[in-house]
Amino acid sequence: MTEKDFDVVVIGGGPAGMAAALEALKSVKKVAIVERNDELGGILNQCIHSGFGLQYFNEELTGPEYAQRFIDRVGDSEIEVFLNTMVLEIKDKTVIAMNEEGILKLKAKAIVLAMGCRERTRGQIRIPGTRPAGVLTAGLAQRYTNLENLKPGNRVVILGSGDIGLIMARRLKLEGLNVLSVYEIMPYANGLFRNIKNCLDDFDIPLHLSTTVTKVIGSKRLQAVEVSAVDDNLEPIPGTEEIIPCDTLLLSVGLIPENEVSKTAGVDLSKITGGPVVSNDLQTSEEGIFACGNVLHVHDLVDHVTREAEEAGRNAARYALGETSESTTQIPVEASGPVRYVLPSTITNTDEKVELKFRVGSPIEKGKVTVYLNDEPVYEGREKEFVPSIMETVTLSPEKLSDGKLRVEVK
Amino acid sequence: MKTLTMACTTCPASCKLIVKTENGEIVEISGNTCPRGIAFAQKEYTDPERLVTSTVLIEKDGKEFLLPVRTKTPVSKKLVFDVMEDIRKIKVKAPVRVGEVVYENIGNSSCELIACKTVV
Amino acid sequence: MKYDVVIIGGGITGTAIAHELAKYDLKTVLLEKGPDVATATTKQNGGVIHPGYDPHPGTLKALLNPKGARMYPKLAEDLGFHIRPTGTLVVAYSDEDLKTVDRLLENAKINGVEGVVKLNSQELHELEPHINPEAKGALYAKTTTMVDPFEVAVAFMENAVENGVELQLNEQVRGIEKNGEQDFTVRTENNEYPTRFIVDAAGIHADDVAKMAGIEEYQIKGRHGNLAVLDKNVPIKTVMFPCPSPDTKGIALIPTVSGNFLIGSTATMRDDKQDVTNDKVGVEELIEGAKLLIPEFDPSSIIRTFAGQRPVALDNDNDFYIKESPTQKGFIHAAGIQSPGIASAPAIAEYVASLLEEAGLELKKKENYNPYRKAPTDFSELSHEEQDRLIKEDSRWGKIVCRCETVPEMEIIEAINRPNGARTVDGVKRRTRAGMGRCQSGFCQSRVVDILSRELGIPADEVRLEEDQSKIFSGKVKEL
Repeated sequence: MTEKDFDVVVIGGGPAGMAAALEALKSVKKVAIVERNDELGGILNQCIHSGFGLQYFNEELTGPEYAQRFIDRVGDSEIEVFLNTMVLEIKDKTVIAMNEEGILKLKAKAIVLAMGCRERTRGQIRIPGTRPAGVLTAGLAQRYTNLENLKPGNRVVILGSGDIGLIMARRLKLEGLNVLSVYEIMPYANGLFRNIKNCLDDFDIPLHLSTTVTKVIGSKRLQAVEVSAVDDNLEPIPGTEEIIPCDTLLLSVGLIPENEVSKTAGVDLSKITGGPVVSNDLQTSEEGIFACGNVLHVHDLVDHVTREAEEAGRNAARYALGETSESTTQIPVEASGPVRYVLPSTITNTDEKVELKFRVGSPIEKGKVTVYLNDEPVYEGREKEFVPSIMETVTLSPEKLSDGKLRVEVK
Repeated sequence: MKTLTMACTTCPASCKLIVKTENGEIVEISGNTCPRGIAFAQKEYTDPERLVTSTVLIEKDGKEFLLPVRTKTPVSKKLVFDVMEDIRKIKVKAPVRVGEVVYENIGNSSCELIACKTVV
Repeated sequence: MKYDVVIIGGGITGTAIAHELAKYDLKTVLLEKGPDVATATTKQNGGVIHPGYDPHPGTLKALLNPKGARMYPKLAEDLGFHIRPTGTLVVAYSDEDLKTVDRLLENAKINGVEGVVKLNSQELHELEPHINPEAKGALYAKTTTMVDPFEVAVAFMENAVENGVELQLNEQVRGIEKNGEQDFTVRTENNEYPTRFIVDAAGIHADDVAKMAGIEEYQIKGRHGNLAVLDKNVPIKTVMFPCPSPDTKGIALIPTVSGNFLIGSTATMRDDKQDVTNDKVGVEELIEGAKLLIPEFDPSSIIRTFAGQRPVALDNDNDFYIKESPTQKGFIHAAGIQSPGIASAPAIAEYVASLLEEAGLELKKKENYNPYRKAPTDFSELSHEEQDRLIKEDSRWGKIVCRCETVPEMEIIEAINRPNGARTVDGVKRRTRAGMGRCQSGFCQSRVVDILSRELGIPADEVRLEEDQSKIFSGKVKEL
């Protein structure tokens, strides 16, 4: 077994992992990235569409291009990269992993979790029916189409109007498949407005709201799906069933932070986000273990992932150097009303400005965010539209914070 | 009078533009938060443009796989499927660097097709 | 050349019979219509080895279930399949239920099942702290074990093949002719199998097969059931049933061999034998059933729902239908194998062998019979030291393909290259668990496709999920 010591070990070599490692390397010497794939870049490698980098680089890039900039920086750096390496568990600040050389034990002063997320599956949303070939998640279809040169079918129905589903509608249409329609159980679209316009409207692909797939039909390869309108409780309305002949059903029904490895380290997870519970230095319930990117909470833009990861990398390095002192502040932060969640869940560091990130659970056409400290407003935003697909940020200056409890509300 | 909605793609703010037209002319643009929205709406109404992203075959060490590519600049929306037509006919050989031109005047759009990834 | 025995159907019953007959000097072939063994009722099963307290004394079930269950631990050792002792609770919520518990206790005694006791409420809650606080007591059968029915069928078949039994996949029986005394010809699409004896283990279609030989003694109907697979996070260790009804054992919570959990299953008779559609109402019934046992049960732990059909021989007192046809000598029925079919399978196989012997088949022990099967290596069960050693021997052990179940590439290559190896994505899944975990193959499927394509020497877009018609791809995206 190979054993090695590092200041900071980053798990995951996608956008979050690379940014965290590069930032950590500015303060410490020995930084490692452990990546299970044969190349860095993570899911960006299969996101060949554009729309990345507008905030971070001030230009519009495709996923691979965005990744390449970081891959090149990592390549030019002293970061030790372990490719084709799967982390098995974290035990006593040691990352136990394996690759074709054998089992590795990477001892770390600080660890950054950056494993990203996975897709919700048919099983989790429990679509009734048979189990033929041709039913797959949108992300897997994206991998087949963009990386593996394999066409997932001919006549495609998409369930879920999340961004991956919308993006795949356009991708498959461009590659010559017949994309019939997109169905969304909610009364509103889940993806970004620009994706509705550019991925569906551009190609006359209809989006049916308040409608869902109620049956998968076909014993070997998918032959059709049954769709039904749903009522206010999202229950199918009998009599509205319609049979749509198709051979492929893509599911774009949500993402789940991938925290199996985090669990082995004993990290506490939030029931709402599925990601670790963190303080405002992005430290998890386990001291010296930090989290960032989609493993922490599912982001809307990779640019935000990069920024968050840089912060996690910086804090992990600081921790590795022993520069963090025991915090005496403990300000819990909670979401209220239409706000689904707020990150972080506690504020322990009030030396710098504090960023609160949050999302609403359902669209609010005109709303205003207010942050309360013990029921006293300490921040008030301007009136605007809030949608679940967009992550909102509020920045508080530290002088406004004192002992008590913070509450984020949208009215 | 007709009313159209557009998603401004100039920046991530993704403003929802409301464009009112009469006799094929724009008479009112609202929903934008900066002047770039006006320019976007005018272009989007008269000759909308799209960046086309796809893949082309690439050969490396006798193996064939996919290289992500895109048009260097947006092309007229009318030409998107012509661009795709040409993209299907292309095969490149490694090494390729990100940003390198792999095809010129793709789909007669007078635009270049560039690699989105470095394959060495 | 003429066969001694043609076994029709490669489910748990057919493969167990093949494994049994492999011990003797016989020319035996098993015909399976699917692309793999155990792709119908067997794989749609919870895998509980019921110890035998349930069947009515005097039935075939009461004879074969306890006997079969007792055979499993030794079989697991010889054939290298997983077995996990869990025990069973049959939970009582009312005085009526407590009477049922007493009746089952009595059954157990008559059926010769040991280790069955009655628990009072306190003892029950000590054993399973998360159980419904309203439970008044339970039957506790300590000897219940769990297996993976597919793994058992594969193990039976592999050992049978190693000992000379022929396996023919994708061979659906189309006709059976009787040519004279003990002389049949079994026809498939492309082949003929002349034989002295036929064992009909065709599950849900056993009566259809019998009809081809002019036998209309009994009829099979399907009892449809929904099942749900859960993630590895349910706080129980024992198999839990409510008290049974005449038709079904009720909706159970089952800790499986692999560490996942199952809820199974609903029970409704269906006219269409092919119908393995799972339905919303059924799944809701499962969730209610699970909540009755464990009130804190969280439906979000469901990672997959599916359905199956148990073959029920009608007008047969809910019993197995195993006998030589009185009208067609040499034709043995091994039919109506509903629950507890998995538990009974090894005993059914011995019983069928004895019926064959009575019908005139000479059973002479094979001299070079090998009772053992080398189990495939289960990487995830090894210590890090052992894993390290394996990787140093062959680096393909070091490449994880399925992240949820920690399945390395080499485990998949071995599953493909074993006798009766995997040919399809689902074949790989059932043998290695790659794709069975919480991400439901989102991560590993493309990698498994790649390995199958390489090992079988076929283009990736030709790889199938299961049957020939279950194509995963419609071709290549880019091709010049």
